[in-house]
Amino acid sequence: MTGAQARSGRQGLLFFAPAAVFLLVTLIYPLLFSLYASFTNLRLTSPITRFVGFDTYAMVLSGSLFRSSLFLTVIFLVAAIALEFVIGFALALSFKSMRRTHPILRALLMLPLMATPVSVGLIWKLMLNSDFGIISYAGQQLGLGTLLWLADPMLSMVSVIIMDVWQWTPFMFLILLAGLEGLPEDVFEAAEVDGSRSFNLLWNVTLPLMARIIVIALAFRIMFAIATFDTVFVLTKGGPARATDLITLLIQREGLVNLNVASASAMSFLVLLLVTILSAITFKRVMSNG
Amino acid sequence: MAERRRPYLREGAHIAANVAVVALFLFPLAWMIIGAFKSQADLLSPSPVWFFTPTLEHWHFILDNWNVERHLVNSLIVSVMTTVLTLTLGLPAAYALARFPIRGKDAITFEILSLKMIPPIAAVVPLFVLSRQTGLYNTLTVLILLNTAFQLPFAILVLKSFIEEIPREIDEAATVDGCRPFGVLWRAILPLSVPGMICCAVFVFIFSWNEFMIANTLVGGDLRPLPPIVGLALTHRGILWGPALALGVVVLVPVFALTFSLSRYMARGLTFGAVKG
Repeated sequence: MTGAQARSGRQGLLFFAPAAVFLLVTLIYPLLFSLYASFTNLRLTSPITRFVGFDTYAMVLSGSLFRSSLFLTVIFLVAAIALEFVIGFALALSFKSMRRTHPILRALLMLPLMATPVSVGLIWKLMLNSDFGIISYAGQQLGLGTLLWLADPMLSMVSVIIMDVWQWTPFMFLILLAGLEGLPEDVFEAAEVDGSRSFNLLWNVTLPLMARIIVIALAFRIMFAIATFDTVFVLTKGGPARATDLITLLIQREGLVNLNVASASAMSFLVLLLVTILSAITFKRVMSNG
Repeated sequence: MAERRRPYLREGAHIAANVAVVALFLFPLAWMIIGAFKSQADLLSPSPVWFFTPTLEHWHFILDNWNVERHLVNSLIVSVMTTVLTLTLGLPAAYALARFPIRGKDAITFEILSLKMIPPIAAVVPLFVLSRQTGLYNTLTVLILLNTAFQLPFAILVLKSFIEEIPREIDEAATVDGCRPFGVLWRAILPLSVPGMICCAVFVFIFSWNEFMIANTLVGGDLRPLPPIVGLALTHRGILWGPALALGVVVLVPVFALTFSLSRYMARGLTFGAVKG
């Protein structure tokens, strides 16, 4: 680096400093505090706090609560994101192949995505109610009997997944559509001249060209889905009998209801570790050559 | 003629199918809005009621009992202040990352992205403890500061992607005209970043408007913004469906108004600028 460049770099840091200091105080310091708490037995209900090393982690990892919530979270992530990707991609292909799309259709599809999560939870709580919900009614009309969408353990997870698919498919759709629209047209023309069938075209041309955007879309979606809280909190509160007790709901209850800050912090850091590993695998490559 | 009509027919069916899918996605929202105007009996009817006499009883209920206008003002204060603070801190930071030869720039960018990937719940528990110690517990300030903290990484990355598309010649021209780096930012970059700023502002406003977890944890009583108020409808004895839906609709109005009018600015924001929309 030349002297002038170094000086210019220092000037740049001045512009960056306010945001960095702000994040340090409001976000990074609390996280460090939480890291410290995870090595103690801090409970807001008990006056004495001492350092316990990895005991809290050992307790969390050996207990069944954390493991079952992790398992439920993985099921939720895999099922919801797979469905969102398939439906979103199909929709994006369908919209792309229309001669023109009214922009209003896209704006309308964005609404479930931007809708306040608390309201989203309410909407589905209403529609899935087994006494007067419209979805239960539709199930009865189709001869499925009375389905206890929110009271049956298995079905309540299905309900959570349906709600998430409704809310987040538009996200996949919008990103993948933007990706499709950025593809060079001449590749498709050449492939059409070669007489590629549409399935081959999709498999051999479209998908490889879209690989980077697909990775970005999936990676973002996984990160956001791990953080899912508000909608499920309103819809099921983790119930019935912990059937939808995602890891975020468990941490919230442990930290803010049971006031066991140490174990909530330890759980948070185990999740953070997972997120960091996942994002290190995907983003570092994708974002740096973006 | 027949040969020409067929593609039109097919195109028509295609458009109809896509419109039907969009309608399917909108149905739950419409059902909620309709429900907010139904009487209790119509709402709880085992078979869906399609035709009914609209009633405003739930709207009167939430205005009289839940002080909705007060919580609406709280929500507005928090969201507007968060948006202003986020852009004020975010634009210079994005300018620095986009234009200056800062050492380890890629690493910094990646760290910022990692911050956004932290599930907020991980920060909420320590923030609950710390805000009690600092006396910020139960103030609107703490909500503004924390919403800004959660939105700032997003804002920096999106603004950076917009600034990178402004030709560097603009900076150089401004420098030749005697602008120092701050002047370049103020006179050249800022005016040209308006679409990026709008994109950011819409998302930051909506995300902080929608935020539930910190609002529900760190403030109580009259200071609560709207989303935690929905919790009032979920009582131990059952759910007050009418008021819940009415409140659910109130929360959605500004979100939908913004999304609808500014959607063309928003595509890029969905991926932090990683996909050009």
